[in-house]
Amino acid sequence: MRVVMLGVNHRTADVAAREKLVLGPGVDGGEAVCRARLREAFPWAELVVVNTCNRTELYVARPADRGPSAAALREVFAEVTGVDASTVSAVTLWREQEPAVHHLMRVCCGLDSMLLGETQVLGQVKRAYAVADEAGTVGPVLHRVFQRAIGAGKRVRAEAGFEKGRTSVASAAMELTRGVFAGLRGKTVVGLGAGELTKGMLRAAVREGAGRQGGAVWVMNRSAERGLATADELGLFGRGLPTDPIRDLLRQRHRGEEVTGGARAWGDLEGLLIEADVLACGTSAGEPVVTKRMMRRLMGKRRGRPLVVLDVAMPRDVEPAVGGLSNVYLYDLDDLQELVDTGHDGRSAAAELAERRVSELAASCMAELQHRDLGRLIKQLRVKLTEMGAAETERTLRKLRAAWQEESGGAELTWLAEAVSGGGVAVDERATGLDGVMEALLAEHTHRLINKMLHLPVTQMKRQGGGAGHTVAEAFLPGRVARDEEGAAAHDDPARLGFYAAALRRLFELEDEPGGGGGGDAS
Amino acid sequence: MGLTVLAAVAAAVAVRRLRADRAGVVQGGEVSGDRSQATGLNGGERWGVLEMQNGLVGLCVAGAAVVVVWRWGVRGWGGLPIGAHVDGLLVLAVLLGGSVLYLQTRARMGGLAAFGLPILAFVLLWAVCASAWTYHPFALDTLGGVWRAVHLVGVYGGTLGAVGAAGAGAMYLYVQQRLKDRSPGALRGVRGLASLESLETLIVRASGLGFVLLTLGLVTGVLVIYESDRVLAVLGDPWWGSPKVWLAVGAWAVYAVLMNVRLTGELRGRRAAWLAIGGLVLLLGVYGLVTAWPAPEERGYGVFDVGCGMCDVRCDQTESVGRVVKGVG
Repeated sequence: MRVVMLGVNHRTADVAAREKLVLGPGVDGGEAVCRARLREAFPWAELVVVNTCNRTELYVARPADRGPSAAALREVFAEVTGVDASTVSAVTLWREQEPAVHHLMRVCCGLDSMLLGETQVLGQVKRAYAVADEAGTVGPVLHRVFQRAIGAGKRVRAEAGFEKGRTSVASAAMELTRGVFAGLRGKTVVGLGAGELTKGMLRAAVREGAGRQGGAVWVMNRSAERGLATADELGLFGRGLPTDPIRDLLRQRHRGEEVTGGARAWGDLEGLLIEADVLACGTSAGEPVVTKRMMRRLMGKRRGRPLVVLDVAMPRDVEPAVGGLSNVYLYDLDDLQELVDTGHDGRSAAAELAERRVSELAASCMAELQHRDLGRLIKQLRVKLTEMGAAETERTLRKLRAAWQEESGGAELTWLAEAVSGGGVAVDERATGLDGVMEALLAEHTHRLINKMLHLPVTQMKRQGGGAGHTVAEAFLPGRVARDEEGAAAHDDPARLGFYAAALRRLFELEDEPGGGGGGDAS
Repeated sequence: MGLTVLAAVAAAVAVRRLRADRAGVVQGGEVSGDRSQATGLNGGERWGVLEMQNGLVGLCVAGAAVVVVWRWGVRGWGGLPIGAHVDGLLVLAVLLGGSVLYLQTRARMGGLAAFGLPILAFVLLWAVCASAWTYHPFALDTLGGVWRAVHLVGVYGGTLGAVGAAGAGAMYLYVQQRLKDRSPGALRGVRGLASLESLETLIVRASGLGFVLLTLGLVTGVLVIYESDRVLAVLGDPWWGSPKVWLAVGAWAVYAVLMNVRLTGELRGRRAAWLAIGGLVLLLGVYGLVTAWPAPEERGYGVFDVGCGMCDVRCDQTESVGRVVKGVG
């Protein structure tokens, strides 16, 4: 099996290109359509779609000699998103085998995030894995890869010390308000959507004093229940909502101070755009929710108050042209990237340590996959050869029986049995007659022949796989490995392992699929 | 001239610090490695640069104060320390420099020195001009002591407010441009600068101060006009047709609007910043007319004495005071 990744992220494309390549969630969303399309064309492939605000990535495990190829994946990607194939080729990233696993681990550790060590992405990867598992597109290979990557995400974070001074995209986004406002006390902050990023931004706003001294924090979501649940989670203290049917607001306290706010109905959007000082957008809407026309109309009613719009949605919730309006300061994910780029340098020592650990873990994960794959290949090969040997043994036995019966009428059989037994040949105790003796002899002969045939490939694999390869080989040829270890000359390049595996599969017509054997590093 | 050079160096240092802020991001007063590479300054060096800048400003402030006090002493310690336009400008420089030093210590006011110190250098340069080429002692006998004091404090205090508002306005435009800029690196370092809200607050407060003091200055100026025949002769007839009066009233009106800009809505933000700058330009026009513009009797529109301020005729002392100011300013 080969693990491949095709994707677009904040390093390969700007926000305008990324938002066109988003695979939306939901039953009818691009993600489900993409999954169905790939499932239909490549039923043997495993698939996980990782969709976050900064990336859309397809992780696929496929047999070495079957699709989907990079071109096929790009084609499906282009078809589902409606973006032309040349654009998809220009902005997508392709990783194969260890680099693909390494990339996923970097994503999980927050090393590929805008903010070094950012935590939200790990949850997003977990959710993507769970969704794919539920859809039945995760097989043994991607199970192992994702479990290792998620484990690496937790472990590396703790080892590198990212938890110290931990930051998130949401809190970095709120920092952008500091250029406009001296503080958020007395300011009204509105969150569009009830996703993690929106919640994070509202939480950061509450920490900075929003919702107190005359300000408020409002959550606005198309689903009233989710809006209320978010307000509940943030501990917002409700007040009279003029046009809001959602009045069941919570009365909690935040550090002894009441945080005014709650959930508002989606229909009250324009009213809130007039009230808001900060608008945090993170919906999953496919079209812009706030248009330039709408904002221009409302700016007069705002009496010149500045408005900071933090649009971290993908695709964007606010038309880019809104940023051109006077007293409107619009920031999207690219601006955020610009702002936080230096944060990576600030923690370069931790990043270096994390990168080293991720490389080690990716190599280890890949070796595990490879050994598992090789083990299955050898097993398949052995089963195949044994079946062939058994068939030939049976055929030979039949011929031998017929020949002896014809020539001696059975009189010589006893003599032959004695002669064979006296010759010191190990005969199975259960073989009582000459028939049994012959069968045992032929079985042993076949077994030894198969072992000798398998000896060279197993030795090669042992050499490629190092210590772990030793275990794999030993499992199938006990006793042989130790004897041949010293004599085995390293006359082959380890990179050819995949080639050997693929050749063996092709020559012996062995299946490479989830649950079957698999290739190595080369196609 | 020495003080002007010091202020100019301090301004250059402040501007360099602002450019350094653009190259990287300051967090908690520390500088990231990235910025250090971009500007060649590490955290310690940056702190040293700030100390040097503040030291230079302190020297300017102290030097200007010494000159004012010395000139006051030369005049015999009578009345106000402002005996001529150059004294007023030096007092303005002292107050402006002190304000910059104070505001630098305030949170969310970063970068203000880069806009305040060039103005300080300009004021000191102007003081050099006012002493070297347009030196005229004020006609201090045109009003009673209290009114004269109120008038001068009103005019120069109001100018300080106008200068503060204009500096904040210029910085507002700069920060806003950075916040709206989409080019790479534009957003970096914005966190270290004063926020638009703080700057607007500064514009409004400085304008409020300017408005109140200019009102006092204008009202007492009208009293001067009515009480002094000499002034009427200077301004012409009718006195309210004088460009000095119109420009002063225009500036006063600008500050009347500016101090209420948050109530109007339409004039907030960028427009308020431009208004603040426009108000200062109008005031500079008034001073230009007062000190340099050819006018009735070819003495400008100011109420100047022909002597040193302590006598009615030009005397040797007038010349010597002027020379000293040229040398120091």
